[in-house]
Amino acid sequence: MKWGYVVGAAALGLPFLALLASGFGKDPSAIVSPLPGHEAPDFTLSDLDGKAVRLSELRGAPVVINFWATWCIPCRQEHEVLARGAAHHAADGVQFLGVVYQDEPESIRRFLARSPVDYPTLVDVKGQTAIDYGVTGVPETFFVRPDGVIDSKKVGPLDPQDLERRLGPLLATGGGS
Amino acid sequence: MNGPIGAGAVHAALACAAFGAVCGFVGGRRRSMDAWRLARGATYASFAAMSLAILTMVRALLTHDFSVWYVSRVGSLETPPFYTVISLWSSLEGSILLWGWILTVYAAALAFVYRRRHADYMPYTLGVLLSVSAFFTWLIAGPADPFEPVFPVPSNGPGPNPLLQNHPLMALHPPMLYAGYVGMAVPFAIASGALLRGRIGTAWLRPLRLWALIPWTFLTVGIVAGGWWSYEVLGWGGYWAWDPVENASFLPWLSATAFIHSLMVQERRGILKTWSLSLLMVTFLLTILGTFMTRSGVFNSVHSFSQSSIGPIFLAFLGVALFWCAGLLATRSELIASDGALPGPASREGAFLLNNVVFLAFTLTVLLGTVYPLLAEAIRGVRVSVGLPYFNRMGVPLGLAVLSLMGVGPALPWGRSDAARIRAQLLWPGLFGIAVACGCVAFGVVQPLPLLTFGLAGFVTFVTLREFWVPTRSRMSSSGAGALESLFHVVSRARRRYGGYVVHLGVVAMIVAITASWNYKLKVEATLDRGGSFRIGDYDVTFRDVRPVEESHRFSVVATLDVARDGEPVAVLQPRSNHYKIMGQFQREPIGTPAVHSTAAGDVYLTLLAFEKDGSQATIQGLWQPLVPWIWWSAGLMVLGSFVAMWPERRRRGRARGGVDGEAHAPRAEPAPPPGQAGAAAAEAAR
Amino acid sequence: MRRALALAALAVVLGRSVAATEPAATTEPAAAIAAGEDHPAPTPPILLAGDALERRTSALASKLRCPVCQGLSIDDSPAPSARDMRAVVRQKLAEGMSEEEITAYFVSRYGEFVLLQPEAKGVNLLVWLGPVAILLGGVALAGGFLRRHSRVGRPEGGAPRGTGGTEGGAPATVESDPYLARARALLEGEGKP
Repeated sequence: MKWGYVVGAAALGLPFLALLASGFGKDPSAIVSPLPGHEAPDFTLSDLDGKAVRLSELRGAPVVINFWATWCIPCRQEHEVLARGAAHHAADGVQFLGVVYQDEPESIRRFLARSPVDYPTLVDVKGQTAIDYGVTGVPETFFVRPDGVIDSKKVGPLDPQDLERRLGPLLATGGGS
Repeated sequence: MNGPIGAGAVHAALACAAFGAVCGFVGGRRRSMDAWRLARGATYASFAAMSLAILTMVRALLTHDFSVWYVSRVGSLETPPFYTVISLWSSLEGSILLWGWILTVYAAALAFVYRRRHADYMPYTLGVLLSVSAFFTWLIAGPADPFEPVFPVPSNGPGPNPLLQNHPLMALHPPMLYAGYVGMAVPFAIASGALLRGRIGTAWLRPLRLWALIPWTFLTVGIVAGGWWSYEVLGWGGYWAWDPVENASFLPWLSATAFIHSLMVQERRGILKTWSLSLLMVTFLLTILGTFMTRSGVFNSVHSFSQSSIGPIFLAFLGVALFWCAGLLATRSELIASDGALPGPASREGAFLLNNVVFLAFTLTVLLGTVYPLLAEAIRGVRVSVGLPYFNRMGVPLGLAVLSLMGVGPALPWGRSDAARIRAQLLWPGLFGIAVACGCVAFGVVQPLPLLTFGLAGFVTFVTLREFWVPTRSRMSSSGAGALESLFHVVSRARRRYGGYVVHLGVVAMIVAITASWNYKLKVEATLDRGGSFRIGDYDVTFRDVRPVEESHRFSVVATLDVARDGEPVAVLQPRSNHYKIMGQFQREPIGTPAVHSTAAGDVYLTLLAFEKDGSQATIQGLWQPLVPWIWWSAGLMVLGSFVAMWPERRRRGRARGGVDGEAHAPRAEPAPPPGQAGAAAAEAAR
Repeated sequence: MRRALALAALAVVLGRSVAATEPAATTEPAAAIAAGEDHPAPTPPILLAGDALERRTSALASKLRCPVCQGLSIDDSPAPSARDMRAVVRQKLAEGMSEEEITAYFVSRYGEFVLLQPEAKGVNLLVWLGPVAILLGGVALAGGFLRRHSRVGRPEGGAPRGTGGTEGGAPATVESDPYLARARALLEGEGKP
């Protein structure tokens, strides 16, 4: 009788099983962005009419940057949430920006004609801005504080509650300044 | 009706497996022939019931019976019948159904083959195997039930995962892999049975070896077919990405290979018994781990099924299996104590030992790299990647060590020998290896690692072929027979050994092909107008046009390119991107299908990256992939080798019946001596 | 043809939740379709792997993970996002940024996840030194085993010369089949020149 085998199996096996169990309930493809807490990467992008918007010029106001595309179904639902949120928070000075990712001007135009928004919709032609923000898919939304620092990042579609919850800290610091 | 029939059949199979397992254990313990007969009967019944279940599922798929849950998940009216049938294993529940069925096939085969032989421990073996089978059947009956009724019945389904209906190799890769995975339960059960029985002679080593080689062969084919599939479908020109699920299939292959080698030392020398058994058990545990990795949603992979709740169940099963193995080794340790001796490091035994160290290190390295992201997240809270560059850096030296040992091992004689003899054995192969390396330099190969690989490959090939040539020559001179006849005689007299050498040649060819394709790949990315061309290697590729093609289940964009060599047209290639229909709508994301022009020297591999809507322009990635076809061919050589090694040695058995295999030990012919004595007696007999 | 292509362009994605579990080339919006006029690549028409810049791009890109693929590098992946990222690598190299700076840039945007092999520092040393330790440990164990068993073996194993020294080197075999053992011994005999 050599109980060493059982002891060995317990000593090596149980931590290993525990390690495997630690992966339950986590999405292995979800990536935690390192960006929150850092300054939002600056960009200059044009909308469909060629009007340029530069992020650093919006300093002083909270900014919500939403990466989306017309071909993405969750983005369509989220689009309405953002449109209403933007209208509701216009008085607070929150600036919303839509950045369209890997899409065609034609379909963006068609889409916006059907469900318009009051904020600028910018086209990320080369995907450079999306890479600057570490975007891995759409929709992804960044919440930028008035001092230009990213407060949080949302992966996947926003619902109204989530939008309000994430806007909270932005408005608090915005109110203070 | 398919749902209730299938579910009923699965429940019947579960009952039979559970009953048979109990009968097996009772038969083993009480040494009752009646119980053993009942266990076999239950095994056949369970096999029949599972066959009915799987046929019912195939029928449900083919008749688009969307009232069956699994069909509503993977079926669609548009999918062609071929892909409808193979969608059986395109999703979790169906794959476990296939898994469970294969296990009953193995169990029934085992029960049939050993219905009259090895009856002293086979009841236990069948008991263990049926217990594993009962676990999987229970999964099918409950937590992963594919036959669950759906209400209201949908009118159509989404069809299988587009990636899985993109290439016919999907018909080969998963079943082969499962046959390999599942089959590892059989040697595990044989070893468990023999240990439970407490009588360790040498008789059980032969079935053990045979039933380890069978799944090993399937696993080899499954892994290579998977690589081929990914080469033909994923469009990046690679066949192995060290993806967690790929690693999951590689891990048991590595440990099983180590086991097959250590078993030879055990048979010869009576040592490494505990070690061999541990390797076997590790292999079985790794197959369960692989199942877990593929199906738990804990690992991020191309091949993994969507997240599911059966992860914890598999984890629990893994834990139970682990302690079962440890307990078995602990309580039966006297049985498997070494009773032989090793001659010293410079012997074939020494080479086998080193082989085992390298293979185990390889296994643990791949395992470490695969689970490290989990570990990093647990310790540091940061998600890291461990990918191809890491595994290549670690794997290349270990692979080179394996390659060297394949040359050194067979060159060294069994047992102790003097230095002069070893030198003589290694001299010519070594010189030949150096000559090969010099030849490679002449052909422009200058990087050290490929040079080392090719040189070692020459060395190993020389050693291996000499093992064929020398006895063939002496046979020719002694019998006057022709070369082929003599070779056949020599090989058929020691099939296991020569089968092994054929496998070695296959491995060498594969390593050479992999090395060449990694290091001498050429890559061009070109945006071409109609009539525009680019050159890759010796080939000129000219873009003709790009056109849409519509089929019932998919919509494709097909580019047509002319491939010419020295001005002579050699092929017309049509790389395409396919949009599959899901619930009546075409998927936006395309699944690319590269087009390949294959020659013995290598493949021209074209992928359609982008195109202009009016068909005037396309962006093509062209790859020249030297020697890649040799990877698939060398797998054929490996399979051939293991067939040679497995082929039953009929004539011999007929002549020496009774003495061979310890088959004369009828279960009740003699009372079993207590374990300790049995081991000693067996060792005594072996001397 | 136009109609059919438009059909493809209209084809709809299932969206992010599904995309997350989708494999390599498919996780992406089809830039193949969007490609062309509104997606001009900042790259020359033919990219030859042989060019110095292309070689450096490829070497660096092969160490960066395509975030939307499954374990492929942005060098290997045919996905549109990977092409975009490759273009960024190429551009930054052309601008004179060092490989470390470019790597640091990607890590600052995507996290350590983007590195296909973990940096060899801190806890990560485990994954780098582990295999070396395993191999050395294994060799040490095997060495110990050899020493132990050759020592035990010499007295009881019979004449050491007998096992290896005889022509054919038929060892003390555990073969239960005497015929087989004899056949093997014969073969081994034939096998040696």
